[in-house]
Amino acid sequence: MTTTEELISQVLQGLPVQVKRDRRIFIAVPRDDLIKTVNILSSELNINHLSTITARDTGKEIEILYHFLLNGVVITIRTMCPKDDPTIDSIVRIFPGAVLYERELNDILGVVPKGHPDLRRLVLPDDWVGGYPLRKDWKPPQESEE
Amino acid sequence: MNCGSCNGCDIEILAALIPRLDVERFGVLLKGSPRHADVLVCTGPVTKQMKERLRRVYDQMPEPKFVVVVGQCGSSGGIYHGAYGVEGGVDTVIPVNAYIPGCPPRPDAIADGLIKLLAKIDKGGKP
Amino acid sequence: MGRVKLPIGPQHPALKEPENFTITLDGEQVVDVDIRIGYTHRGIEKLMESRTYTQNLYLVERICGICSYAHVVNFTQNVEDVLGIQIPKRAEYIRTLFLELERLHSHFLWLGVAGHEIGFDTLFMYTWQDREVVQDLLEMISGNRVNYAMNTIGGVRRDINEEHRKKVLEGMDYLEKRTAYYKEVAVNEKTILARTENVGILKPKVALKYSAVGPTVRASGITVDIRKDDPYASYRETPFEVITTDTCDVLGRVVVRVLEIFESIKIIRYLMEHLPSGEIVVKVPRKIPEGESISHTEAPRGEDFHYLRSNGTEKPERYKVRTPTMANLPAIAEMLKGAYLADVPIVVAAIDPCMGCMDRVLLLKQDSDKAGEIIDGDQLRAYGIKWYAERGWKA
Repeated sequence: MTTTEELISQVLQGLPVQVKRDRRIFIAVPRDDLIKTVNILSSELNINHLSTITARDTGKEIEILYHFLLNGVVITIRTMCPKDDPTIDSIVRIFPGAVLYERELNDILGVVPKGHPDLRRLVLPDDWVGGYPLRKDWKPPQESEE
Repeated sequence: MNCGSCNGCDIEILAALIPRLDVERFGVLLKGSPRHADVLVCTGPVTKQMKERLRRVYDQMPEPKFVVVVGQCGSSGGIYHGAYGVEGGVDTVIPVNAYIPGCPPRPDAIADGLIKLLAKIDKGGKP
Repeated sequence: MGRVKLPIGPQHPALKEPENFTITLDGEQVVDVDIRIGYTHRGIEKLMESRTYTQNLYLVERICGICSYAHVVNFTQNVEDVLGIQIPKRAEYIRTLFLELERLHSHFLWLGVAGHEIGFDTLFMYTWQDREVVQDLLEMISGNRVNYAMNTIGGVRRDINEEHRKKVLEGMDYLEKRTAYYKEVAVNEKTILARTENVGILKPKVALKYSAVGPTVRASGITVDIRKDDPYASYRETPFEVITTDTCDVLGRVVVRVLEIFESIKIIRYLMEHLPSGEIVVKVPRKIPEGESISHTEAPRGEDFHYLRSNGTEKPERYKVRTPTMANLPAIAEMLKGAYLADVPIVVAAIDPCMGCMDRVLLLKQDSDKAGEIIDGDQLRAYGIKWYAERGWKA
């Protein structure tokens, strides 16, 4: 265990932490605790690097993973939101670097980050009307007369 | 024109301009604007976002004009065939005169394809 | 001039992927920047869910033609992690060799592109000519100049023989001499200095605030390099330094990359001189057990981050890729604020975008919605060169 990992386990005591292997730590929290947990990483561990945000359609819910980096240790916060209410709190005020990653979530999976300053399309074409491609139940739009 | 490529083909096209191969000696010059070009070289599968722009660039070219596709993706969508962001090969959007296959084709193959096209144009036919 | 909105993009005739910047100008200075990407969005992550892991090896390679190998290493490392297997040491060394050869070709490529952006086409021709040495080595060992298809899950597919080893070392000797020359040019050539010194400032606080990566942040004094922080392949063994400078400008980004070339040469020499014998691959099952894994590498442009979620079948459940350029886009917006229009091409180029440089520039007057003059990318580049020439700097 590196000194960073020791520090992390100290700070995260009491939280549901899962150590997958060396330098890979996962914390699962309910949606409402997201901001609180992100703040802990930012203020108590001085983490400033957000590598990216991954989201996955599990069928019933959408799992959202926030991947942070501290001295080579990847700390991932795992949270869920229901598909019939796919909203999450935006973390842009704590991590401005999340601005594009949250836009991407919105674009391809339909997750709405509440409080995000600018939710225009990021990767899908301006005239896209095909729904959310990364959802498991997504069907490609019908081909027009070509 | 990069229509959505991974850059592999674009880099090999540029590599055909450097002294090692130097296609300029065959009379091929890289131009920045479609209005000054005779040949449009396209790379990449045409993404849905680029489809209209590709059409517009083609329309801006003065006659006579020719289109060369470099790489598998431009020819048929290549490895991205079936991806939701991809429209298809370049010929699903504009007419194509020559295809240079490869992933990516070597600079020599690109030069070879361009020269073959130029030779056909010189002979007076529409390739 | 008043405030003018200037959409820049989205296609460049010969280089890289397109993107679109809408720049608000006040006179000749940039006041605000808005970024639109997605012109090369192909839908790869979704496509990966319908292909087997073996098929995905080839798809992942083609996320980007310049740092393709970094992507493949991440992919294979993720799958190997879920499988819980260790690849043979010789395979690790060969992977590291290719990772560093890729860094070399990418940094030489970038030097040429940067030279071109400021009107220094001779630099472009020289660096790309030297880059051919790397391309020849890549082709000699793997069979291709781009998209090397070297990896498989469990190791590498091709081995290195004695002749390859010798040629690689000869290539390194040659490139070292050439890079020493570029180092001299970079810090002494007046035009380069004029175009890059104090241009595109990125203060360390801002770099960290926006989670930027790679040489871009190392030029702002931030010591972060995944090869050192979270070593993978053979990086725990190979001696090298993480290069930083603290000038926070485009010149710093040039210097960091040039010095990184020397470090890559050092690493490659070590690999070739200490190459362990043994197997290059271990057998793996077709079905990958349920699990998840994270792998990230220090690609030439910065941290390349991959996440895998597997479900026990031969196709991935979910695959996520975050390329380094995406991480640097918010920081670019900050760097361009306060910059002169003439500096826009080189500041954007300085993050080494794996997505376009701009080409088409459309001038829109603030109080009308009709488009004004259309200027193409060559003219914007030429504008920058002329602007500096009028102030006494000619390439």
